[in-house]
Amino acid sequence: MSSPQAWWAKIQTAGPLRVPTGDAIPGLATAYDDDGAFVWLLPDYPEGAGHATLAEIGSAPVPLEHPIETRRVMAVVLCLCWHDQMTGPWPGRPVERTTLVTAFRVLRGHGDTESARSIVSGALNQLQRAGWVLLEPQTVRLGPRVALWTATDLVELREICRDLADIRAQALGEAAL
Amino acid sequence: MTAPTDPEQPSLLDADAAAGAVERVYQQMFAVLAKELGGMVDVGDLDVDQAILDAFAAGDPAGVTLEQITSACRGIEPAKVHRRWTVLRGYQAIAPVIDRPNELRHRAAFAPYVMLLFLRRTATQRGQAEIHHLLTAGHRTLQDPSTTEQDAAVLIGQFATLFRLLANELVIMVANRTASELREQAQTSWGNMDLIGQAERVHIEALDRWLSLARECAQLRMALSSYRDAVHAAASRLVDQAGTTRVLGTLPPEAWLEFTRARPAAELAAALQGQYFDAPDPDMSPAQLRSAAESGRRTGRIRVTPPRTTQANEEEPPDEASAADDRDALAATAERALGGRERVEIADVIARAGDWISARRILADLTAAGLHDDLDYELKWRDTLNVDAAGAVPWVTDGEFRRRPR
Repeated sequence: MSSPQAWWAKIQTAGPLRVPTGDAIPGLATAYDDDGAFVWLLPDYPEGAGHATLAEIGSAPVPLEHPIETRRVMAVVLCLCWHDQMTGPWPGRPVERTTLVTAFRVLRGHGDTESARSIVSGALNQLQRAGWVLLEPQTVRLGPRVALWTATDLVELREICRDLADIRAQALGEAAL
Repeated sequence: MTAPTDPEQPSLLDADAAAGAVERVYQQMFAVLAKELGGMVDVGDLDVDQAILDAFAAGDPAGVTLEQITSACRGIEPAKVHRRWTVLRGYQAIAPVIDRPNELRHRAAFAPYVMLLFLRRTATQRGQAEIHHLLTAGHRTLQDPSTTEQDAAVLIGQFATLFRLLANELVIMVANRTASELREQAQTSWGNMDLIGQAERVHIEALDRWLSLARECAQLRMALSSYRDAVHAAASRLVDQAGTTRVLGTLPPEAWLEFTRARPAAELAAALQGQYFDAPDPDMSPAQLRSAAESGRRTGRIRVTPPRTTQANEEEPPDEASAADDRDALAATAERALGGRERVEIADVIARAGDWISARRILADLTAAGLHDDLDYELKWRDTLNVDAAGAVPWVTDGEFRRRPR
Protein backbone atom coordinates (compact mmCIF):
# COMPACT_ATOMS: atom_id res chain seq x y z
CA MET A 1 0.00 0.00 0.00
CA SER A 2 2.90 2.35 -0.56
CA SER A 3 2.91 3.05 -4.27
CA PRO A 4 1.26 6.31 -5.38
CA GLN A 5 -0.99 4.32 -7.74
CA ALA A 6 -2.32 2.20 -4.91
CA TRP A 7 -3.03 5.29 -2.80
CA TRP A 8 -4.68 6.94 -5.72
CA ALA A 9 -6.88 3.92 -6.31
CA LYS A 10 -7.77 3.79 -2.64
CA ILE A 11 -8.96 7.36 -2.41
CA GLN A 12 -10.74 7.14 -5.74
CA THR A 13 -12.83 4.33 -4.36
CA ALA A 14 -13.03 5.22 -0.66
CA GLY A 15 -13.22 9.02 -0.82
CA PRO A 16 -11.04 11.57 1.00
CA LEU A 17 -8.54 10.02 3.40
CA ARG A 18 -6.84 11.67 6.38
CA VAL A 19 -3.22 10.70 6.99
CA PRO A 20 -0.34 12.18 9.04
CA THR A 21 1.52 14.75 6.98
CA GLY A 22 4.66 12.65 6.94
CA ASP A 23 2.87 9.90 5.00
CA ALA A 24 1.68 12.20 2.24
CA ILE A 25 2.22 10.96 -1.26
CA PRO A 26 3.46 13.42 -3.82
CA GLY A 27 1.33 13.87 -6.90
CA LEU A 28 -2.06 13.63 -5.19
CA ALA A 29 -4.48 16.45 -4.54
CA THR A 30 -4.24 17.31 -0.84
CA ALA A 31 -5.72 19.57 1.81
CA TYR A 32 -3.77 20.27 5.01
CA ASP A 33 -5.60 20.03 8.27
CA ASP A 34 -4.92 20.87 11.94
CA ASP A 35 -2.14 23.35 11.18
CA GLY A 36 -0.42 20.94 8.89
CA ALA A 37 -0.25 17.96 11.24
CA PHE A 38 -2.55 15.92 9.02
CA VAL A 39 -3.29 15.96 5.34
CA TRP A 40 -6.35 14.87 3.42
CA LEU A 41 -5.71 12.95 0.24
CA LEU A 42 -8.44 13.86 -2.22
CA PRO A 43 -9.88 12.05 -5.21
CA ASP A 44 -9.23 14.29 -8.16
CA TYR A 45 -10.21 14.01 -11.79
CA PRO A 46 -8.24 14.87 -14.86
CA GLU A 47 -9.36 18.01 -16.61
CA GLY A 48 -12.59 17.40 -18.51
CA ALA A 49 -13.71 14.42 -16.45
CA GLY A 50 -16.04 14.20 -13.51
CA HIS A 51 -19.64 14.90 -12.75
CA ALA A 52 -19.96 17.73 -15.25
CA THR A 53 -19.06 15.34 -18.04
CA LEU A 54 -21.63 12.86 -16.81
CA ALA A 55 -24.27 15.57 -16.80
CA GLU A 56 -23.25 16.55 -20.32
CA ILE A 57 -23.74 13.08 -21.77
CA GLY A 58 -27.06 12.77 -19.99
CA SER A 59 -26.02 9.94 -17.70
CA ALA A 60 -27.55 10.69 -14.35
CA PRO A 61 -24.89 11.52 -11.76
CA VAL A 62 -25.04 9.93 -8.36
CA PRO A 63 -28.43 10.82 -6.92
CA LEU A 64 -28.88 12.79 -3.74
CA GLU A 65 -31.83 12.35 -1.48
CA HIS A 66 -33.81 15.58 -1.39
CA PRO A 67 -31.27 17.16 -3.72
CA ILE A 68 -32.54 20.72 -3.56
CA GLU A 69 -32.76 20.93 0.23
CA THR A 70 -29.39 19.24 0.57
CA ARG A 71 -27.79 21.79 -1.74
CA ARG A 72 -29.45 24.60 0.21
CA VAL A 73 -27.95 23.23 3.41
CA MET A 74 -24.58 23.03 1.68
CA ALA A 75 -24.91 26.63 0.53
CA VAL A 76 -25.76 27.73 4.07
CA VAL A 77 -22.81 25.79 5.52
CA LEU A 78 -20.58 27.42 2.94
CA CYS A 79 -21.70 30.96 3.71
CA LEU A 80 -21.37 30.43 7.45
CA CYS A 81 -18.01 28.63 7.44
CA TRP A 82 -16.14 30.46 4.71
CA HIS A 83 -14.98 33.45 6.73
CA ASP A 84 -12.09 34.71 4.62
CA GLN A 85 -13.26 35.05 1.09
CA MET A 86 -9.93 36.26 -0.19
CA THR A 87 -8.70 32.67 0.18
CA GLY A 88 -10.31 29.35 -0.61
CA PRO A 89 -13.12 27.91 1.54
CA TRP A 90 -10.88 25.20 3.06
CA PRO A 91 -10.38 24.80 5.99
CA GLY A 92 -12.93 27.43 7.07
CA ARG A 93 -14.35 27.94 10.53
CA PRO A 94 -16.59 25.53 12.42
CA VAL A 95 -20.14 26.66 13.05
CA GLU A 96 -22.62 25.59 15.72
CA ARG A 97 -25.32 23.25 14.54
CA THR A 98 -28.01 25.45 16.08
CA THR A 99 -26.71 28.45 14.15
CA LEU A 100 -26.87 26.41 11.00
CA VAL A 101 -30.48 25.43 11.66
CA THR A 102 -31.37 29.05 12.35
CA ALA A 103 -29.73 30.19 9.11
CA PHE A 104 -31.54 27.51 7.18
CA ARG A 105 -34.84 28.58 8.70
CA VAL A 106 -34.16 32.18 7.74
CA LEU A 107 -33.39 31.12 4.19
CA ARG A 108 -36.61 29.13 3.99
CA GLY A 109 -38.69 31.98 5.39
CA HIS A 110 -38.94 31.02 9.08
CA GLY A 111 -40.53 27.63 8.81
CA ASP A 112 -41.04 25.04 11.50
CA THR A 113 -37.88 24.56 13.61
CA GLU A 114 -38.40 20.85 14.08
CA SER A 115 -38.67 20.10 10.36
CA ALA A 116 -35.77 22.44 9.59
CA ARG A 117 -33.65 20.54 12.08
CA SER A 118 -34.50 17.17 10.57
CA ILE A 119 -33.87 18.40 7.03
CA VAL A 120 -30.54 19.87 8.07
CA SER A 121 -29.35 16.77 9.90
CA GLY A 122 -30.40 14.50 7.03
CA ALA A 123 -28.58 16.69 4.55
CA LEU A 124 -25.48 16.91 6.74
CA ASN A 125 -25.25 13.13 6.97
CA GLN A 126 -25.34 12.83 3.20
CA LEU A 127 -22.81 15.60 2.77
CA GLN A 128 -20.52 14.06 5.34
CA ARG A 129 -20.48 10.71 3.58
CA ALA A 130 -19.22 12.43 0.46
CA GLY A 131 -16.66 14.51 2.34
CA TRP A 132 -18.35 17.83 1.68
CA VAL A 133 -18.70 18.61 5.38
CA LEU A 134 -17.12 17.35 8.59
CA LEU A 135 -19.39 16.77 11.54
CA GLU A 136 -18.39 17.12 15.15
CA PRO A 137 -20.82 16.61 18.03
CA GLN A 138 -21.87 20.24 18.29
CA THR A 139 -20.32 21.89 15.28
CA VAL A 140 -20.09 21.55 11.54
CA ARG A 141 -17.34 22.63 9.20
CA LEU A 142 -16.57 22.35 5.53
CA GLY A 143 -15.16 19.03 4.40
CA PRO A 144 -11.86 18.50 2.61
CA ARG A 145 -13.55 17.99 -0.73
CA VAL A 146 -14.24 21.73 -0.97
CA ALA A 147 -10.53 22.15 -1.60
CA LEU A 148 -11.16 20.67 -5.05
CA TRP A 149 -13.29 23.62 -6.16
CA THR A 150 -11.43 25.46 -8.86
CA ALA A 151 -10.79 29.19 -9.09
CA THR A 152 -13.68 29.54 -11.55
CA ASP A 153 -15.97 27.73 -9.13
CA LEU A 154 -14.92 30.08 -6.34
CA VAL A 155 -16.13 33.11 -8.29
CA GLU A 156 -19.64 31.72 -8.32
CA LEU A 157 -19.37 30.53 -4.72
CA ARG A 158 -18.44 34.04 -3.58
CA GLU A 159 -21.55 35.17 -5.39
CA ILE A 160 -23.61 32.72 -3.30
CA CYS A 161 -22.03 34.03 -0.12
CA ARG A 162 -22.86 37.59 -1.17
CA ASP A 163 -26.45 36.55 -1.85
CA LEU A 164 -26.74 34.92 1.55
CA ALA A 165 -24.87 37.63 3.48
CA ASP A 166 -28.03 38.84 5.19
CA ILE A 167 -28.86 35.32 6.31
CA ARG A 168 -25.37 34.90 7.69
CA ALA A 169 -25.61 38.16 9.61
CA GLN A 170 -29.06 37.32 10.93
CA ALA A 171 -28.16 33.78 11.99
CA LEU A 172 -24.90 34.77 13.68
CA GLY A 173 -26.67 37.70 15.34
CA GLU A 174 -29.49 35.51 16.66
CA ALA A 175 -27.00 32.95 17.88
CA ALA A 176 -25.09 35.66 19.75
CA LEU A 177 -28.23 36.81 21.60
CA MET B 1 -11.66 -42.91 -39.15
CA THR B 2 -11.16 -39.45 -37.80
CA ALA B 3 -13.57 -36.62 -37.51
CA PRO B 4 -14.24 -34.87 -40.76
CA THR B 5 -12.65 -31.44 -40.93
CA ASP B 6 -14.27 -28.34 -42.27
CA PRO B 7 -13.03 -27.43 -45.72
CA GLU B 8 -12.67 -23.79 -44.74
CA GLN B 9 -12.32 -22.40 -41.27
CA PRO B 10 -14.61 -19.39 -40.86
CA SER B 11 -13.58 -16.56 -38.54
CA LEU B 12 -13.95 -17.21 -34.85
CA LEU B 13 -17.10 -15.15 -34.29
CA ASP B 14 -18.83 -16.61 -37.32
CA ALA B 15 -17.91 -20.09 -36.19
CA ASP B 16 -19.26 -19.34 -32.75
CA ALA B 17 -22.52 -18.00 -34.09
CA ALA B 18 -22.85 -20.88 -36.55
CA ALA B 19 -22.21 -23.44 -33.81
CA GLY B 20 -24.78 -21.73 -31.67
CA ALA B 21 -27.37 -21.83 -34.45
CA VAL B 22 -26.67 -25.46 -35.20
CA GLU B 23 -26.87 -26.36 -31.56
CA ARG B 24 -30.26 -24.65 -31.31
CA VAL B 25 -31.58 -26.72 -34.17
CA TYR B 26 -30.15 -29.88 -32.56
CA GLN B 27 -31.79 -29.03 -29.29
CA GLN B 28 -35.09 -28.48 -30.99
CA MET B 29 -34.82 -31.75 -32.85
CA PHE B 30 -33.76 -33.63 -29.78
CA ALA B 31 -36.72 -32.29 -27.93
CA VAL B 32 -38.66 -34.92 -29.80
CA LEU B 33 -36.10 -37.64 -29.20
CA ALA B 34 -34.86 -37.01 -25.69
CA LYS B 35 -36.42 -38.99 -22.91
CA GLU B 36 -36.01 -36.23 -20.36
CA LEU B 37 -34.79 -32.72 -20.09
CA GLY B 38 -31.09 -32.05 -19.90
CA GLY B 39 -28.12 -33.88 -21.35
CA MET B 40 -27.52 -32.55 -24.82
CA VAL B 41 -24.87 -33.58 -27.26
CA ASP B 42 -22.57 -30.92 -28.60
CA VAL B 43 -20.88 -30.77 -31.96
CA GLY B 44 -17.67 -32.36 -30.66
CA ASP B 45 -19.55 -35.38 -29.31
CA LEU B 46 -20.99 -35.98 -32.75
CA ASP B 47 -17.50 -36.39 -34.17
CA VAL B 48 -16.74 -39.01 -31.53
CA ASP B 49 -20.03 -40.76 -32.23
CA GLN B 50 -19.26 -40.83 -35.89
CA ALA B 51 -15.82 -42.27 -35.25
CA ILE B 52 -17.33 -44.97 -33.04
CA LEU B 53 -19.98 -45.89 -35.58
CA ASP B 54 -17.38 -45.87 -38.38
CA ALA B 55 -15.30 -48.25 -36.30
CA PHE B 56 -18.29 -50.55 -35.90
CA ALA B 57 -18.88 -50.52 -39.66
CA ALA B 58 -15.27 -51.32 -40.42
CA GLY B 59 -14.91 -53.89 -37.65
CA ASP B 60 -15.82 -57.51 -37.29
CA PRO B 61 -19.46 -58.17 -38.29
CA ALA B 62 -19.75 -60.56 -35.35
CA GLY B 63 -19.25 -57.76 -32.84
CA VAL B 64 -16.65 -55.31 -31.64
CA THR B 65 -15.26 -54.73 -28.16
CA LEU B 66 -14.65 -51.40 -26.51
CA GLU B 67 -10.90 -51.93 -26.71
CA GLN B 68 -11.06 -52.40 -30.46
CA ILE B 69 -13.12 -49.23 -30.79
CA THR B 70 -10.68 -47.26 -28.66
CA SER B 71 -7.77 -48.39 -30.73
CA ALA B 72 -9.66 -47.67 -33.96
CA CYS B 73 -10.36 -44.13 -32.76
CA ARG B 74 -6.74 -43.34 -32.29
CA GLY B 75 -7.08 -39.63 -32.90
CA ILE B 76 -9.50 -39.17 -30.04
CA GLU B 77 -8.88 -39.24 -26.30
CA PRO B 78 -9.88 -42.65 -24.89
CA ALA B 79 -11.80 -40.94 -22.07
CA LYS B 80 -14.05 -39.20 -24.57
CA VAL B 81 -14.63 -42.41 -26.48
CA HIS B 82 -15.55 -44.13 -23.22
CA ARG B 83 -17.96 -41.41 -22.29
CA ARG B 84 -19.79 -41.48 -25.62
CA TRP B 85 -19.78 -45.27 -25.55
CA THR B 86 -21.60 -45.21 -22.23
CA VAL B 87 -24.14 -42.72 -23.53
CA LEU B 88 -24.74 -44.65 -26.75
CA ARG B 89 -25.12 -47.88 -24.84
CA GLY B 90 -27.44 -46.16 -22.38
CA TYR B 91 -29.73 -45.26 -25.27
CA GLN B 92 -29.46 -48.75 -26.79
CA ALA B 93 -27.64 -47.40 -29.83
CA ILE B 94 -24.97 -49.94 -29.00
CA ALA B 95 -25.99 -53.23 -27.48
CA PRO B 96 -24.17 -56.40 -26.43
CA VAL B 97 -24.22 -59.07 -29.12
CA ILE B 98 -25.64 -61.54 -26.63
CA ASP B 99 -27.60 -60.27 -23.68
CA ARG B 100 -25.59 -61.62 -20.77
CA PRO B 101 -23.36 -60.12 -18.06
CA ASN B 102 -19.77 -59.28 -18.97
CA GLU B 103 -20.41 -59.62 -22.70
CA LEU B 104 -17.60 -57.72 -24.38
CA ARG B 105 -18.61 -57.81 -28.02
CA HIS B 106 -21.16 -55.26 -29.08
CA ARG B 107 -23.13 -54.40 -32.17
CA ALA B 108 -24.33 -50.99 -33.29
CA ALA B 109 -27.77 -50.04 -34.58
CA PHE B 110 -28.10 -48.25 -37.88
CA ALA B 111 -30.66 -45.68 -36.69
CA PRO B 112 -28.20 -43.49 -34.77
CA TYR B 113 -26.10 -43.27 -37.90
CA VAL B 114 -29.07 -42.11 -39.95
CA MET B 115 -29.76 -39.51 -37.30
CA LEU B 116 -26.13 -38.52 -37.40
CA LEU B 117 -26.24 -38.02 -41.15
CA PHE B 118 -29.35 -35.94 -40.74
CA LEU B 119 -27.66 -33.79 -38.10
CA ARG B 120 -24.62 -33.37 -40.30
CA ARG B 121 -26.78 -32.18 -43.15
CA THR B 122 -28.59 -29.79 -40.85
CA ALA B 123 -25.25 -28.49 -39.66
CA THR B 124 -24.18 -27.58 -43.16
CA GLN B 125 -27.51 -26.37 -44.50
CA ARG B 126 -29.42 -25.30 -41.37
CA GLY B 127 -32.89 -26.34 -40.40
CA GLN B 128 -34.60 -24.58 -43.20
CA ALA B 129 -32.90 -26.67 -45.85
CA GLU B 130 -34.66 -29.66 -44.30
CA ILE B 131 -37.98 -28.03 -45.10
CA HIS B 132 -36.87 -27.80 -48.71
CA HIS B 133 -36.08 -31.49 -48.64
CA LEU B 134 -39.43 -32.24 -47.08
CA LEU B 135 -41.27 -30.15 -49.63
CA THR B 136 -39.42 -31.79 -52.50
CA ALA B 137 -40.16 -35.21 -51.08
CA GLY B 138 -43.77 -34.18 -50.56
CA HIS B 139 -44.02 -33.01 -54.15
CA ARG B 140 -42.78 -36.37 -55.38
CA THR B 141 -45.15 -38.23 -53.11
CA LEU B 142 -48.06 -36.30 -54.52
CA GLN B 143 -46.99 -37.06 -58.06
CA ASP B 144 -46.56 -40.73 -57.29
CA PRO B 145 -49.58 -42.61 -58.73
CA SER B 146 -49.65 -44.99 -55.76
CA THR B 147 -50.31 -42.16 -53.29
CA THR B 148 -53.82 -42.20 -51.92
CA GLU B 149 -55.99 -39.25 -51.05
CA GLN B 150 -55.56 -40.14 -47.38
CA ASP B 151 -51.77 -39.86 -47.63
CA ALA B 152 -52.05 -36.52 -49.40
CA ALA B 153 -54.38 -35.13 -46.73
CA VAL B 154 -51.91 -36.16 -44.01
CA LEU B 155 -49.04 -34.61 -45.94
CA ILE B 156 -50.84 -31.32 -46.52
CA GLY B 157 -51.79 -31.23 -42.85
CA GLN B 158 -48.16 -31.73 -41.86
CA PHE B 159 -47.04 -28.87 -44.05
CA ALA B 160 -49.74 -26.61 -42.67
CA THR B 161 -48.59 -27.39 -39.11
CA LEU B 162 -44.99 -26.80 -40.10
CA PHE B 163 -45.63 -23.36 -41.54
CA ARG B 164 -47.91 -22.44 -38.66
CA LEU B 165 -45.13 -23.20 -36.20
CA LEU B 166 -42.61 -21.27 -38.26
CA ALA B 167 -44.94 -18.28 -38.53
CA ASN B 168 -45.88 -18.28 -34.84
CA GLU B 169 -42.29 -18.46 -33.72
CA LEU B 170 -41.44 -15.58 -35.97
CA VAL B 171 -44.39 -13.44 -34.91
CA ILE B 172 -43.50 -13.87 -31.26
CA MET B 173 -39.88 -13.09 -32.00
CA VAL B 174 -40.79 -9.91 -33.86
CA ALA B 175 -42.94 -8.77 -30.98
CA ASN B 176 -40.70 -9.66 -28.05
CA ARG B 177 -37.11 -10.04 -29.05
CA THR B 178 -34.42 -7.51 -29.73
CA ALA B 179 -33.53 -6.74 -33.29
CA SER B 180 -30.12 -8.34 -32.94
CA GLU B 181 -31.66 -11.64 -31.91
CA LEU B 182 -33.99 -11.32 -34.87
CA ARG B 183 -31.06 -10.80 -37.19
CA GLU B 184 -29.29 -13.82 -35.72
CA GLN B 185 -32.31 -15.99 -36.38
CA ALA B 186 -32.88 -14.58 -39.82
CA GLN B 187 -31.27 -17.47 -41.65
CA THR B 188 -32.80 -20.26 -39.64
CA SER B 189 -36.37 -19.12 -39.47
CA TRP B 190 -37.17 -16.59 -42.12
CA GLY B 191 -34.26 -16.58 -44.52
CA ASN B 192 -35.88 -17.14 -47.88
CA MET B 193 -39.17 -16.78 -49.59
CA ASP B 194 -38.51 -19.75 -51.89
CA LEU B 195 -40.07 -21.97 -49.27
CA ILE B 196 -43.41 -20.33 -49.75
CA GLY B 197 -43.24 -20.70 -53.53
CA GLN B 198 -42.27 -24.33 -53.19
CA ALA B 199 -45.06 -24.98 -50.74
CA GLU B 200 -47.55 -23.30 -53.04
CA ARG B 201 -46.51 -25.62 -55.86
CA VAL B 202 -47.09 -28.59 -53.58
CA HIS B 203 -50.44 -27.17 -52.68
CA ILE B 204 -51.49 -26.69 -56.31
CA GLU B 205 -50.33 -30.18 -57.14
CA ALA B 206 -52.52 -31.62 -54.41
CA LEU B 207 -55.50 -29.49 -55.29
CA ASP B 208 -55.29 -30.39 -58.97
CA ARG B 209 -55.30 -34.04 -58.21
CA TRP B 210 -57.81 -34.23 -55.34
CA LEU B 211 -60.38 -31.46 -55.39
CA SER B 212 -61.89 -32.94 -52.25
CA LEU B 213 -58.83 -31.81 -50.28
CA ALA B 214 -59.95 -28.19 -50.57
CA ARG B 215 -60.35 -27.84 -46.80
CA GLU B 216 -56.85 -29.10 -45.99
CA CYS B 217 -55.45 -26.98 -48.80
CA ALA B 218 -57.18 -23.90 -47.42
CA GLN B 219 -55.50 -24.58 -44.07
CA LEU B 220 -52.14 -24.76 -45.80
CA ARG B 221 -52.84 -21.55 -47.73
CA MET B 222 -53.68 -19.74 -44.50
CA ALA B 223 -50.55 -21.05 -42.80
CA LEU B 224 -48.47 -19.92 -45.76
CA SER B 225 -49.89 -16.44 -45.82
CA SER B 226 -49.44 -16.02 -42.07
CA TYR B 227 -45.83 -17.07 -42.52
CA ARG B 228 -45.44 -14.53 -45.32
CA ASP B 229 -46.91 -11.80 -43.11
CA ALA B 230 -44.58 -12.72 -40.29
CA VAL B 231 -41.58 -12.51 -42.62
CA HIS B 232 -42.67 -9.08 -43.77
CA ALA B 233 -43.13 -7.92 -40.19
CA ALA B 234 -39.70 -9.19 -39.24
CA ALA B 235 -38.08 -7.49 -42.21
CA SER B 236 -39.74 -4.18 -41.54
CA ARG B 237 -38.75 -4.36 -37.90
CA LEU B 238 -35.13 -4.73 -38.92
CA VAL B 239 -35.40 -1.88 -41.39
CA ASP B 240 -36.92 0.35 -38.71
CA GLN B 241 -34.20 -0.59 -36.31
CA ALA B 242 -31.47 0.33 -38.76
CA GLY B 243 -32.90 3.84 -38.67
CA THR B 244 -32.44 6.56 -41.20
CA THR B 245 -28.72 6.94 -40.69
CA ARG B 246 -27.88 3.34 -41.60
CA VAL B 247 -24.62 3.62 -39.73
CA LEU B 248 -23.32 0.20 -40.51
CA GLY B 249 -19.80 0.73 -39.24
CA THR B 250 -20.77 1.05 -35.58
CA LEU B 251 -22.55 -1.50 -33.49
CA PRO B 252 -26.16 -0.61 -32.70
CA PRO B 253 -26.90 0.23 -29.05
CA GLU B 254 -28.82 -3.00 -28.78
CA ALA B 255 -25.66 -4.95 -29.48
CA TRP B 256 -23.97 -3.32 -26.49
CA LEU B 257 -26.96 -3.94 -24.27
CA GLU B 258 -27.10 -7.50 -25.52
CA PHE B 259 -23.45 -7.99 -24.68
CA THR B 260 -23.87 -6.76 -21.14
CA ARG B 261 -26.92 -8.93 -20.66
CA ALA B 262 -25.53 -12.13 -22.08
CA ARG B 263 -21.98 -12.15 -20.72
CA PRO B 264 -20.92 -13.65 -17.39
CA ALA B 265 -19.69 -11.35 -14.64
CA ALA B 266 -16.07 -12.35 -15.09
CA GLU B 267 -16.04 -11.32 -18.73
CA LEU B 268 -17.68 -7.99 -17.97
CA ALA B 269 -15.28 -7.37 -15.14
CA ALA B 270 -12.33 -8.09 -17.43
CA ALA B 271 -13.21 -5.03 -19.49
CA LEU B 272 -12.74 -2.87 -16.41
CA GLN B 273 -9.38 -4.37 -15.44
CA GLY B 274 -7.04 -1.59 -14.38
CA GLN B 275 -9.76 1.04 -14.10
CA TYR B 276 -10.57 2.83 -10.87
CA PHE B 277 -13.66 4.81 -10.11
CA ASP B 278 -14.47 7.51 -7.68
CA ALA B 279 -16.68 6.46 -4.84
CA PRO B 280 -20.28 7.17 -5.74
CA ASP B 281 -20.26 10.58 -4.15
CA PRO B 282 -22.75 13.22 -5.16
CA ASP B 283 -21.42 16.35 -6.75
CA MET B 284 -21.88 19.90 -5.48
CA SER B 285 -21.42 22.18 -8.42
CA PRO B 286 -21.50 25.89 -7.62
CA ALA B 287 -24.23 26.52 -10.17
CA GLN B 288 -26.48 23.94 -8.53
CA LEU B 289 -25.75 25.34 -5.07
CA ARG B 290 -26.59 28.79 -6.22
CA SER B 291 -29.85 27.93 -7.90
CA ALA B 292 -30.90 25.90 -4.86
CA ALA B 293 -30.08 28.75 -2.49
CA GLU B 294 -31.89 31.29 -4.61
CA SER B 295 -34.97 29.16 -5.11
CA GLY B 296 -35.00 28.47 -1.36
CA ARG B 297 -35.39 32.14 -0.68
CA ARG B 298 -38.09 32.54 -3.26
CA THR B 299 -40.29 29.70 -2.12
CA GLY B 300 -43.31 30.91 -0.20
CA ARG B 301 -42.74 34.58 -0.80
CA ILE B 302 -43.41 35.30 -4.43
CA ARG B 303 -46.28 33.58 -6.09
CA VAL B 304 -45.12 32.26 -9.38
CA THR B 305 -47.61 32.78 -12.19
CA PRO B 306 -48.76 29.43 -13.50
CA PRO B 307 -47.46 28.54 -16.93
CA ARG B 308 -49.69 29.60 -19.74
CA THR B 309 -50.18 28.02 -23.07
CA THR B 310 -48.29 29.76 -25.81
CA GLN B 311 -51.38 29.78 -27.95
CA ALA B 312 -54.10 32.33 -27.35
CA ASN B 313 -51.58 34.76 -25.96
CA GLU B 314 -53.29 37.50 -27.89
CA GLU B 315 -56.54 36.87 -26.14
CA GLU B 316 -55.05 37.22 -22.68
CA PRO B 317 -55.77 40.96 -22.07
CA PRO B 318 -59.53 40.49 -21.42
CA ASP B 319 -58.64 39.43 -17.88
CA GLU B 320 -57.32 42.84 -16.94
CA ALA B 321 -59.80 44.70 -19.08
CA SER B 322 -62.71 43.03 -17.35
CA ALA B 323 -61.25 43.94 -13.96
CA ALA B 324 -61.02 47.56 -15.08
CA ASP B 325 -64.56 47.51 -16.46
CA ASP B 326 -65.72 45.94 -13.24
CA ARG B 327 -64.29 48.78 -11.23
CA ASP B 328 -65.98 51.44 -13.33
CA ALA B 329 -69.31 49.63 -13.18
CA LEU B 330 -69.05 49.28 -9.39
CA ALA B 331 -68.18 52.95 -9.00
CA ALA B 332 -71.19 53.88 -11.14
CA THR B 333 -73.52 51.69 -9.07
CA ALA B 334 -72.13 53.09 -5.86
CA GLU B 335 -72.55 56.67 -7.05
CA ARG B 336 -76.08 55.92 -8.16
CA ALA B 337 -76.89 54.46 -4.75
CA LEU B 338 -75.31 57.40 -2.93
CA GLY B 339 -76.91 59.94 -5.23
CA GLY B 340 -74.32 62.59 -4.33
CA ARG B 341 -74.67 62.08 -0.57
CA GLU B 342 -71.88 61.05 1.78
CA ARG B 343 -73.73 58.05 3.14
CA VAL B 344 -76.92 56.13 2.51
CA GLU B 345 -78.92 53.71 4.64
CA ILE B 346 -79.09 50.15 3.30
CA ALA B 347 -82.80 50.01 4.20
CA ASP B 348 -83.40 53.00 1.86
CA VAL B 349 -81.45 51.42 -0.95
CA ILE B 350 -83.47 48.24 -0.67
CA ALA B 351 -86.73 50.12 -0.38
CA ARG B 352 -85.87 52.04 -3.53
CA ALA B 353 -85.06 48.86 -5.43
CA GLY B 354 -88.61 47.68 -4.85
CA ASP B 355 -88.22 43.92 -4.77
CA TRP B 356 -85.63 41.53 -3.38
CA ILE B 357 -84.49 40.26 -6.78
CA SER B 358 -83.10 43.63 -7.82
CA ALA B 359 -82.25 44.64 -4.26
CA ARG B 360 -79.90 41.74 -3.81
CA ARG B 361 -78.15 42.59 -7.08
CA ILE B 362 -77.54 46.14 -5.85
CA LEU B 363 -76.46 44.80 -2.48
CA ALA B 364 -73.94 42.51 -4.14
CA ASP B 365 -72.52 45.39 -6.16
CA LEU B 366 -72.27 47.61 -3.09
CA THR B 367 -70.50 44.87 -1.16
CA ALA B 368 -68.04 44.41 -4.04
CA ALA B 369 -67.50 48.17 -4.25
CA GLY B 370 -66.85 48.31 -0.52
CA LEU B 371 -64.27 45.53 -0.74
CA HIS B 372 -62.59 46.87 -3.87
CA ASP B 373 -59.08 48.13 -3.15
CA ASP B 374 -59.21 50.96 -5.66
CA LEU B 375 -62.62 52.37 -4.67
CA ASP B 376 -63.15 54.55 -1.65
CA TYR B 377 -66.44 53.17 -0.39
CA GLU B 378 -67.30 51.03 2.58
CA LEU B 379 -70.28 49.07 3.75
CA LYS B 380 -70.92 49.13 7.50
CA TRP B 381 -73.44 46.86 9.19
CA ARG B 382 -75.01 47.53 12.53
CA ASP B 383 -76.42 45.02 14.97
CA THR B 384 -80.08 46.07 14.68
CA LEU B 385 -82.75 44.58 12.45
CA ASN B 386 -85.82 46.14 10.79
CA VAL B 387 -88.80 43.86 10.35
CA ASP B 388 -91.70 44.79 8.08
CA ALA B 389 -93.98 41.86 7.44
CA ALA B 390 -95.88 43.74 4.72
CA GLY B 391 -92.85 45.08 2.83
CA ALA B 392 -91.30 43.62 -0.30
CA VAL B 393 -88.27 42.67 1.79
CA PRO B 394 -89.64 41.53 5.16
CA TRP B 395 -86.50 42.14 7.24
CA VAL B 396 -83.47 44.29 6.67
CA THR B 397 -80.32 44.54 8.77
CA ASP B 398 -79.49 48.09 9.55
CA GLY B 399 -76.37 49.38 7.91
CA GLU B 400 -75.01 52.13 5.78
CA PHE B 401 -73.01 52.52 2.59
CA ARG B 402 -70.68 55.48 2.66
CA ARG B 403 -67.63 57.08 1.17
CA ARG B 404 -64.49 56.02 2.90
CA PRO B 405 -62.64 58.97 4.37
CA ARG B 406 -59.31 59.32 2.52
